[in-house]
Amino acid sequence: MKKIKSALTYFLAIIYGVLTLFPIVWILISSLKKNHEVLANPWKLPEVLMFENYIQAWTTAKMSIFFVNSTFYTLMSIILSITICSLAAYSISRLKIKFGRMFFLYLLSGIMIPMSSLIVPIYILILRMGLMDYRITLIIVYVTFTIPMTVALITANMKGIPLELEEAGVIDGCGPVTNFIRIIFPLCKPVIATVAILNFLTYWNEFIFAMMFTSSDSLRTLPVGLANFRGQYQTNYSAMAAGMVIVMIPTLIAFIVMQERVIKGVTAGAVKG
Amino acid sequence: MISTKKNKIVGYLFIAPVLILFTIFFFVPIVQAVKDSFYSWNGISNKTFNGLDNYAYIFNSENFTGSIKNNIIMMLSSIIIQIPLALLIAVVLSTQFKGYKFFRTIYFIPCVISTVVIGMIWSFVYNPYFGILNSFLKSVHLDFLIMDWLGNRKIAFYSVIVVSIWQWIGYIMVILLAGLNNISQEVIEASTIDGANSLKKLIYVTIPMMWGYIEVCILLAITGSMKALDLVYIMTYGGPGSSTEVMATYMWKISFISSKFGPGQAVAVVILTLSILLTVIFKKFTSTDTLNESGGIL
Repeated sequence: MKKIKSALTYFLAIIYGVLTLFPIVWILISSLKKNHEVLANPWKLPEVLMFENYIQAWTTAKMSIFFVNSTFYTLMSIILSITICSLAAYSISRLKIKFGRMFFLYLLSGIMIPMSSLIVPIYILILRMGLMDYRITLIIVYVTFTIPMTVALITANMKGIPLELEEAGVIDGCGPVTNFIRIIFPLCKPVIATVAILNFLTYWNEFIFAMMFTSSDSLRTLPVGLANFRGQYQTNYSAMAAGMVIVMIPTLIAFIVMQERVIKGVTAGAVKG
Repeated sequence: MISTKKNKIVGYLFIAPVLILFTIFFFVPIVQAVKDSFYSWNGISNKTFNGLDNYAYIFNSENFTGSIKNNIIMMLSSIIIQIPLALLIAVVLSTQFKGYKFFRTIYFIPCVISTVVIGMIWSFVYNPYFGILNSFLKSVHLDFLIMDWLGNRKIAFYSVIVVSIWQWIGYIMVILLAGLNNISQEVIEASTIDGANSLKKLIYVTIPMMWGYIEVCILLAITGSMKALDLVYIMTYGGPGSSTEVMATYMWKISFISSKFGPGQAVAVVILTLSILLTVIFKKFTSTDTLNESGGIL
């Protein structure tokens, strides 16, 4: 009985694993085929490995530019969001300001509101502020939309740090700023790493805002570039597949390296929200 | 912590950047959307107040009422299909068989890939000429099932829903797995001694004990389906016809293609209201605080 159960477990696990991975692996294989091979037989392996598809996607479809842009937006947004959100979390959890609790609830209310319902008003706002087509615009919008979750996670973590540690700092003559930099922030490194990876995934993969706020190739991100690529080279399926692989590789690597953090973050985030 | 005056000043300075950004780029747009939804505006001319005309306009549009229906179908299929499926996978993984972490990693992979890529991958899979789905059906002699998955009005939306379920099932699974691991083994053992079989244990012991986690997943399904936009945008752009239109794509088109910003903002307000309303109602009916204890999970 036990053996049957264990066999059934593996059977189910493998079946669903194949269902999950198969489309992705198929794209990976297609990205290494000649275009006419993709069209001829979807199941066949490539005759020769066509790395040219990647070169084509990288240069002709300008993925190289988009890659640099995506990296820039993502890194800047992560740095900005962690800086301002950990400062806010410190203020909420430690500095006993008036209305601190109210501010926290105000920020948390953002979790309930779906981002996509705000695309039109935000577009109008950005247009009126004359911020269209600036790199900073996308960074600011990205950071804003991750404020609720980032502040919630870091605050929850800071509340768990014993007060004695800071009191020791105060006795040594440290003010709140020094305390934050020397004691609290270093102790929060694990949660900072968690929100950094979660925000990385959000920023890197985002599509709608990136499409709305950039109108030239020199500013576009990978997802937008990929979507445009499909519009321009409709029948070059193998190069398109190569483009898809280029977009997903960084997040896949990041996830595999930091999977424990991602999974912890998802669980904690869901529980908070 | 000793609360001095200096601390307070620093406190306000520290929270200020977040409050300012959140207010300008989150709160103000919401207020603006509500206000604009009562005005007629094409993006260029002056705004003119027109009362509830925008709302009348969208609710008289079949494309919009159809899109609400689609959002609801998406939400229900997530609750009825995705969550039970994720629970099944989570139960399998929770036996912690050798290598279960490896499978957990694999199941989560679609969640870390950009929705643009996911949408394009599945457009390839569904492609009537070289897609693997039709070609697979042909090879197992199920030719009668072969169809234009995204081109057929009757099934295009279900084809999109399958992708949405496929993409996020790992996410739901991870949350449910945390819930399963939270149940004390003693309770499970006690029910085993009482002679309960696996299915009974699941229904009468496991699910009630992790109900808080299932609630979280239902909430995610509600808000997730309300914000559906990029997947539909990439896979079908609402078509063929308006068969796969969701509220957000309808809003996109009416605002940016037809330049009717008034009705567009009215749609935004409807999405907003529905999400908040559904969340609040759901929370009201199911008031559990079971999850608070796991606050310090990190």
